[in-house]
Amino acid sequence: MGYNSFLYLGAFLPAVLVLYQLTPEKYRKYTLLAFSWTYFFLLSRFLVLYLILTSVFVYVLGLWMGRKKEGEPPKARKTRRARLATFGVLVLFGILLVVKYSRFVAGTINSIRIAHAMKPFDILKIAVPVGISYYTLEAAGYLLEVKWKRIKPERDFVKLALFLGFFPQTMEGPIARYQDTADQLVSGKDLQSEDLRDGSVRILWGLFKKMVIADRLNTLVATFYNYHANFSGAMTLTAGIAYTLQLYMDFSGTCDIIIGSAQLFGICLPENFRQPFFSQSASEFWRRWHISLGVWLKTYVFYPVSVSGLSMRWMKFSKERFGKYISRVGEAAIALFPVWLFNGIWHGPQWNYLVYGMYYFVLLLLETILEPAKTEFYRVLGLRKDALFFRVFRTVRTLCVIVLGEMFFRADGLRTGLSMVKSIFGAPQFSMLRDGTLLHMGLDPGDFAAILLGTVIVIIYDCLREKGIRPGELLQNKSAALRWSAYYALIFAVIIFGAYGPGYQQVDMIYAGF
Amino acid sequence: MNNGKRITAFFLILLCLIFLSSGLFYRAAKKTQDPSLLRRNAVFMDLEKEPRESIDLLVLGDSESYTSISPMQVYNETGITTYVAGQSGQNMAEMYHMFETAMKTQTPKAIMIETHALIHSKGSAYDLQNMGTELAQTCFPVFSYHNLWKGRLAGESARVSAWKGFRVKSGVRACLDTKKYMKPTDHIRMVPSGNRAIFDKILKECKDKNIEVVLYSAPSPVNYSYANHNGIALLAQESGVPYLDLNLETADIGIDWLRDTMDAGDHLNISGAEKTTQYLIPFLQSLNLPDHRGQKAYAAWDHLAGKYDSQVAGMIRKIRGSNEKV
Repeated sequence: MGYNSFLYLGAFLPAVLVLYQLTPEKYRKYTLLAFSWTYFFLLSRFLVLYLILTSVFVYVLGLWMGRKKEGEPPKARKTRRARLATFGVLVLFGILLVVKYSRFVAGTINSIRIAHAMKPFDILKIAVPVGISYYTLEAAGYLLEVKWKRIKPERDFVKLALFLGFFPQTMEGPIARYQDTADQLVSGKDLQSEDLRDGSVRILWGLFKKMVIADRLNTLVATFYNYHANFSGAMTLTAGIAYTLQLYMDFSGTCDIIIGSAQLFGICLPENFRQPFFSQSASEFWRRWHISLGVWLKTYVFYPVSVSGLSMRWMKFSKERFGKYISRVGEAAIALFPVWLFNGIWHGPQWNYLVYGMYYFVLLLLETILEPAKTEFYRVLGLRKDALFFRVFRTVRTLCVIVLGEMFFRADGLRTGLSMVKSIFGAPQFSMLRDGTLLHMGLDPGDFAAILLGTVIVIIYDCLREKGIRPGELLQNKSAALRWSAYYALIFAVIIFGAYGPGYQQVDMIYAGF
Repeated sequence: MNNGKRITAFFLILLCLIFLSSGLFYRAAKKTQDPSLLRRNAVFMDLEKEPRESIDLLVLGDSESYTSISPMQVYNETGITTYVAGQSGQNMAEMYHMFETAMKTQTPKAIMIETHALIHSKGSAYDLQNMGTELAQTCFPVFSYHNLWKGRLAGESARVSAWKGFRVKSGVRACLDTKKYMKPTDHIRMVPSGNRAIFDKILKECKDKNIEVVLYSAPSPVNYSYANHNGIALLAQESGVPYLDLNLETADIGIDWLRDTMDAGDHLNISGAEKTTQYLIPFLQSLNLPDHRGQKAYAAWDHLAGKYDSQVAGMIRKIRGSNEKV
């Protein structure tokens, strides 16, 4: 029951809305929690126990961290809090590692054993609960916030359980911070017509991106990646661009549905995307793409590592010995490496994800290394850094970097990713783009037209957003006839041009698999 | 207008628009005979185009159905008019929709249900989703035929099947691993409750209309096991309907898993289907269905049946004479 499914949008969500409104205000949080766990149960059956036990564990540990023992000196209390938080984070990530990564580790060990003519181990198959990567990060974030005394340990179990298991966030995030969403989840306020309208439009917009563009592109992308060896470098590049577009439309579209679903209840979830393809550097891209993961990594990995003893000692040592520049580069490397290692591993137990993380580590480090040279370049030549030409150049360059990264991300293994890159530079064969091969990838001219038109609409929307204009708000000032026509047009665009039904495969949400 | 009235008005207009567009798309779908646009739904349109009250035996099911029973062969041998209303991956909700569609224009005397759709399920949430989707598509055909905008609306191309729903598959890919196929066990793979509920609904409506229901499992090492057999046999026993598990009869049918399958034991090819249909003939005759051969109203069937024979005979000879892909 994905967020774009008929069952979710046509039955589950309306049922929760009606029952939520019918429930007396102070009991509404129980209704939301009951439906959240039910939703999880429908997705993962008894694996919902992972979520419930995680909620109980984090709740108890949080209270324990906040407990004041009589006569305990503040320093000892701080140490106890830190130890409990470390214990909690280790347990949470330990579970994640065992559930999600044990097969990968055991498989890697087995390949080494086989290579050395040793008998492989039997590998235990462990079911992975949906959304474990997301709620584990939220739970760890909560414990660290309590440790740093930014928030008080939560005494209301329902509030904490809802924060970890609120049903629209179950499968793809966004990964929220406790202080940003927890209070809203239990406010129990009445449904508002403005929220219902804006939430519904946001859901429709998400469906448009996912069903008209992303799901349609899936046929082409899947055909290419299944038989990539048969295609030329030019086709590889085309498929790389298609996958990057698919991933954006799929993930941002699903996030629109998620944020829209929460908005129906008057709950404002953090945004996950801010026009990422307008980025002018890899670091800016990551401030605009999967923002909630970036914020989590910055808050709970980057900053703590930056102020850690190791980083401080390096700065002191390197400043005296090598000067400011080397010191800054070294500091960036120390803080960025764990962030991108974590980012790669978080996506799943595959080597290409690890390479994907390291790819961005190298790029971001290069940005730091080259920063003085770039500044000097503009200064010496007397050029304006923000001139249109340079902005366009940087945007196109960043797009190339993104597409290359996503090609590795989607590839079935590291070797496949490398062979694809090799084919782009080795044997492009642009003739394949003209000889009709594209029309044998499962899409017909009508499909390509729908993708093109849909993408143009999304680009126009993103351009407006980039200029600070909110198309939805613009529409509110227009007459009811115009507004309703726009809503109906969006609904029918999804119904008529959506890639569903005969001839199309039902496409799972891509980020739900991470 | 207050908010409540405004929301109601919005949804009423939306409903009207969906209703209107459904009418338009349904009419367009009936006009076109282009299977590349209609895909899995083409069989609905083809079924509706059959002359009223002309089908005596209706076959329902997924791809196992339209690759196992050949209506033209049945007609040639018995004169029984058969239609295979199967779809690739047909689920039970779709089967019910197909059954309802058939009942609009036909009153068959017997219905054979290929059981793979019955035993197959991806979980209750998925089944529920299928039911909802099917309901929406039945009420509002725009959801089924929304892809017609892709052009060629007035095109007059071939039907999805020229042979009353049966698909002639001439490929050969041998099934090499049949060691575990139908190995006896006491284990029972129960028919999922959602599927069972839909089957019971079809059965009840058939009983009300005095239509005989028969369950059958097409030979398929990929899709069938003894545990499946036990589950379906139990259902058949509880429902009081005959069950023919052809997977237990492959020796008598004469299936050669090196030649009679198109995809390594998933589906039968034309050679396997011919043997299976031939095996079923005595059973079909025992149902006492009318023989329409030579009747004026069924001249088109006589003509088509003659054409069918000449088309498939060569293919079958080629398959049986060689192990290579045809």
